[in-house]
Amino acid sequence: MRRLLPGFILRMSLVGRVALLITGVSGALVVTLICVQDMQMAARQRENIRTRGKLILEGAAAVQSELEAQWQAGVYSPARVREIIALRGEGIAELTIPVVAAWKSARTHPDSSRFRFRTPRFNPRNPNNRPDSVEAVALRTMKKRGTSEYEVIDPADHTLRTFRGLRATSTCLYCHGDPGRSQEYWGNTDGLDAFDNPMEGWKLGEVHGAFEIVQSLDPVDEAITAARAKSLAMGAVLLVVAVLGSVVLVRRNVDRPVRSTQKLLTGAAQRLVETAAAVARSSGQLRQTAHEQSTASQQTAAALDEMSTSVRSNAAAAAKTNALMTRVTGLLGNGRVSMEHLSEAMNDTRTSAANTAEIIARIDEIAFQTNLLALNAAVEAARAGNAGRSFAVVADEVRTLAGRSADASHSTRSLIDESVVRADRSVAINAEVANALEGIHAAIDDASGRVDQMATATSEQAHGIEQIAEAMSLIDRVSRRSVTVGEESAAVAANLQRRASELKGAVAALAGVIDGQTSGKHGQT
Amino acid sequence: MTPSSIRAAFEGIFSGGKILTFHLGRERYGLPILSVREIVGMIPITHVPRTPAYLLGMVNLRGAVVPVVDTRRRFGMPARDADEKTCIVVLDIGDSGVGIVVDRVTDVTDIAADQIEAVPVPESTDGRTQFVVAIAHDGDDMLMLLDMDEVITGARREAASCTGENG
Repeated sequence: MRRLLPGFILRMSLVGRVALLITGVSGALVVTLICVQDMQMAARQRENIRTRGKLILEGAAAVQSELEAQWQAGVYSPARVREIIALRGEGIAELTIPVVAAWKSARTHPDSSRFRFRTPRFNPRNPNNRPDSVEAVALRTMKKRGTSEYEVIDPADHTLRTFRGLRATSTCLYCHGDPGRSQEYWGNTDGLDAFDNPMEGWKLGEVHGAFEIVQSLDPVDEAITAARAKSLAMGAVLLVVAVLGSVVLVRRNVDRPVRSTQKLLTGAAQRLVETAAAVARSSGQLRQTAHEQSTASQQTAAALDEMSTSVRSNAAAAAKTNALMTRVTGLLGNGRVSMEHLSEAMNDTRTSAANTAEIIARIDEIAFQTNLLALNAAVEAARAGNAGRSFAVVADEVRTLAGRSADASHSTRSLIDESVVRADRSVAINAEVANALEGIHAAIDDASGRVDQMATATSEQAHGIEQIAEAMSLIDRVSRRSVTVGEESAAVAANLQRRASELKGAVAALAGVIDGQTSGKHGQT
Repeated sequence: MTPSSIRAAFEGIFSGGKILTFHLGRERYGLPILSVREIVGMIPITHVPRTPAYLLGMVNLRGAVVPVVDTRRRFGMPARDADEKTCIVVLDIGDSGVGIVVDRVTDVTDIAADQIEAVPVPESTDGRTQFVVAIAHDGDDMLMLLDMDEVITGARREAASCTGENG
């Protein structure tokens, strides 16, 4: 399309082109208007000329009718014509002929300078009246159609030729009728009329020859030329005004908005190109990421499988542990009962030890008293002198026995004390053990509860892992789809990039159209 | 004092008889058995007002009222509560006798003259008489031999000289 335009138009700005267009259109309009006006004026002028020709012919016809009427009224007759010829000559006598009177009146018409009057006919008496080619056609046509009017424009000399056919009247037939009646009218037997011309033997009503008005059409052309000059001048003024106005209007209403739009479009196209590139990049990344995600989700699914296995073994272990805990709890109960028995036995030991200690204390007391007794006996023996010597020995033995008894009771007491201390320690340890057992029991209860919780948690975990596995497979599917979508998106982005480049080119081309080619190339970067 | 004079004194006091030994704290003392009238376990002692500080009080011994001396106080030792081994040794002094409180009566023993040693401290310069006449070594143990007359009568004498102060 652009190749069809000449180079200078391509180099013009939009305003220039619009101005050129408007100039062309309004020029064509003006020319068309002038042509129409020309045609109307030509038609009007032609009509005037035609009317004038007809009027002249009408006038001639009226004169002819008037003379015909005089002939009918008997003012003129062949005899009267012969008298006039005899008296005044043929020249005057011709004036009585209606047709002659008619053409003479036409030739003396005030506007006679504007037309030529002719009376063409075949085989004329006057050689000047021999019809030319146009007249011959006119005569033949009128004869053939039986009409008395004909009009034609002769392009050869640019004239309007108006014909009025002449019908043979009774008056005409005096000279042009049956030659046999020449004796009756004109007193000769040669078939001659009053002017010694042979009678043609016409019949009444026949058309022989015509009146013709030849008017030049040049005045029409002149008028047209004058009017055209005026129109052209006015048209030129109008054209200039229209072009200036349109330039202003186009600048104000078209060029500026188009330029700003073009700027926007340029920016938008640039941004679109960048955006398309960004979309291409991000779809590549999307595809990459989705691929990685797919791989990761598959790995996760595998890990989940392993995890599921371990969770199941956890659940089994928890169940086993729970059973073990129950058994341990039972054993602990037994242990507690045993401890209670032990504690009772210890208390019994303490009681019997206390009883034994009482007995020992009594033995001690007895040993002390025995000792005192033996000492007093020794004192008494000493006082008795020689008499008490053997008694002193007995007292000494008794004292020794008392001392041994006291020693034995002491060691027994210490043994009992020791056993009591041990029993106390045993009781304390027993209490500690009982406490420890209670603690163990509580701990086992706690542990049992926790193992229960663990079992519950494990089953929940297993459930959760199933859900996660489902979710992972969903994620995997989605990731695969994302990969596909990413590829499609990349393809679309590439397409978009191409389209954006095309758009950018188109916008640059638009800039070229708006600014003309050179500045357009400038704006294409 | 020479060893011979000590032995003489020992012979004078103990007359070669047996010796009753007792404990006050960790120390072991000896008395001539002939100066002992009786040994009894601890019995309730009735305090008598306005008596010298070393007198714990009186005990009723089969109808006889016997004064009891606080031996620890007399010996300048810290006081001690009585236990099941605490005894009162009734000395053959005066009509009713005098009781002394000891921590524990140990035994009756013989001491030979060659077991006797002198007290290795100078005689007191304030004119007070020594309670301990001599020291006997009995195996690894040591036994302080007491002049009980001095312990009791010395106390009475001191008490008499101090009546003005205590009264």
